[in-house]
Amino acid sequence: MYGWIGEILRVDLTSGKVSIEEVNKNFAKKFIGGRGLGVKILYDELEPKIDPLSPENKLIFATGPVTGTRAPTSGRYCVVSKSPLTGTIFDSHSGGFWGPELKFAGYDGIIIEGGAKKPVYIWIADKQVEIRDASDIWGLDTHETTEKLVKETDPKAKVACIGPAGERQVLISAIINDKHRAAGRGGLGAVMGYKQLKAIVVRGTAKVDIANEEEFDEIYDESMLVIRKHPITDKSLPTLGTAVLVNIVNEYGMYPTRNFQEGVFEDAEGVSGEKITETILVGRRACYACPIGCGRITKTSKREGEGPEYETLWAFSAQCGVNDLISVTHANYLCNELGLDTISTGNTIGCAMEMSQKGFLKEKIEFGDAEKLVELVEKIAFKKGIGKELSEGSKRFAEKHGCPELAMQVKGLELPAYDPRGAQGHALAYSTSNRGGCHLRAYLIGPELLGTPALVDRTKPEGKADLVRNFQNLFSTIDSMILCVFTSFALNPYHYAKFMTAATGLEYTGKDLMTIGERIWNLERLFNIREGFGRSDDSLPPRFLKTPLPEGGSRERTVFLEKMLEEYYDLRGWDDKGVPLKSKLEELDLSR
Amino acid sequence: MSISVRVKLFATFREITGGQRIVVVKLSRKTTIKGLIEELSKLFGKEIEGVLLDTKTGDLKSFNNVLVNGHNIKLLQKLRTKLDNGDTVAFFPPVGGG
Repeated sequence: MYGWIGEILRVDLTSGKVSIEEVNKNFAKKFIGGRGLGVKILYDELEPKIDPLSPENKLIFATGPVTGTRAPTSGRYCVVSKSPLTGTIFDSHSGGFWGPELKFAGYDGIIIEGGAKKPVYIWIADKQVEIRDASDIWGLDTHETTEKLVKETDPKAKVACIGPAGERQVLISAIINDKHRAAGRGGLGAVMGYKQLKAIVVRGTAKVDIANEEEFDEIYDESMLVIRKHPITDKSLPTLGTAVLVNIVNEYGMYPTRNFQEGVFEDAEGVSGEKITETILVGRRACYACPIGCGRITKTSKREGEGPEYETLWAFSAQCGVNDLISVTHANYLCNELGLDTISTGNTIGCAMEMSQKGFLKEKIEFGDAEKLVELVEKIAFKKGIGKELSEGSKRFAEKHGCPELAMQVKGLELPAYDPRGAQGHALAYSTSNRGGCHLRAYLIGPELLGTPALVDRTKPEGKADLVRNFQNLFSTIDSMILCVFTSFALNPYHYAKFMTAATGLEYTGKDLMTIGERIWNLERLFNIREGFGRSDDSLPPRFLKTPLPEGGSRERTVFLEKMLEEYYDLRGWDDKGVPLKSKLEELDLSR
Repeated sequence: MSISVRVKLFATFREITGGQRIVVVKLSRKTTIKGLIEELSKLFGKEIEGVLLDTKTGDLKSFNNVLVNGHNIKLLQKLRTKLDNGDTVAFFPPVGGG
């Protein structure tokens, strides 16, 4: 095959059996790879209602047909599993260098099954696979683990691993690769921890075969020109990073403050992208084949690391009312080392702070307490003291203490750094996301706030259902190829289709890719319906529907969800309960 | 009647003012965003117009954004959006991210 290697590894950690399966061409054409491939395998192979932290759950590491080629931003991989945090299907993505290395080692993906009896790691080098003992690295943080495993295997090996949080099955734990890159969301680190799989180490020397090199060169040149001409991918993201959004979202009155009680953080400037550039920024870093390079290398007087990015910066500052950039940065470094999702960790701590403020907690956890923030990050990772309860995420924590409405989450996944009351389309994107509270299933912030590709009125619900649907379909495809969604500021389905055709030798049009995205979205929906999710889960915490924002650029706004949801179901070809109609499934070739 | 508006500059637009984040601008009469930009160019130099505006059309450059009290002027009267005493006007260049 071209683009795809054509082989997937299946590793049963219970028996230690390793087998190789061929990638079916028809299957690949229909689901592409990455997210689509993982979702399809899990839909077919998982029994409904299994415990995500049991041997029955599977963990799929997947790349796509353009991973490891020269295509811009093709350095990504994803991990697909049933999430122990949300109970939904879940794909978590990461950049860096691990994904391409897996392909160079000879595999499109790895399906992990069962669970080991003692800690292990998997070592894959140019097709050779070994399950090795990891007893002596169990307990190490992600940086120590990476250094030790590189020493033990190959100086050029790439490591994806869990830290102490994943080992303890913390429900908001991440999988970390290349030390600083995270498949952060959904607690998939806990699935790895349950299976006692400390790391997957890969090293390969092969290259990805391209079907039509000449065509590939053409679309490469054309895309690079567009990326280099676009002010966001050429200037903004490389020079300012993602954190530039802090002041701007704050100005729109949508910067969630003190657990989404307000939309304006009075101290935003001191913990903004501009402030990072002035104080702690020492360099930038790009992932494999990325011409954008949004990564930030930072240094405080004590330490050096990567980040904080926009989301992390928010989670540990405005969300917790903290205005000390150094503490926020250290909380970020700690999450990378201990293996925690920064969004869910910061959001959950902010939730605890509001619970404390409102008298739902005995322990005093005050907004603005930077020292406490850093202490809690560590406690969550090691499940110490109140960290044990917090390690289950905001939904379970708030429910346990009798105030479920204070958890800022959708389907159990903590919400990110945009208050949905200020952008109706983004609110719909949160509520209908198949993996819960996430901004990267459909990034309506582009059209609603930043004017990309074109500005639409963020206060109006009209027309948003269609926009959300299109973004969701497009991003499902991008997540399956896999490219970084940041390319979508500059590129469109035409470019993606050209890359797919040149790389794989199979004909794809932009329209085909949108249909494939729709197929993947619907299959994820079917998975979630099988697990018991329905219309009532396509919702938002009551605060967003009933309590207007008190001040700022989105003052007095709430979300008009029901109206948009009805239109959305209708456009999707789903019934009023949110179940795909038979005709839609037939159209998408998903009926059995 | 003269009015006063708070101008906030973000990201690279701070270079226009030599790093100043917020500038309070006094305008001799009620005016529009266009009038404000003219006043800013008097205060900080003519190049500001080249940074903000498309020299051919005279419109705001694509992906540049201006907010008046949190509302994007592209959805108001664009450069002709009127300003009132006490308004906050934010200027930001093309940005993106997650």
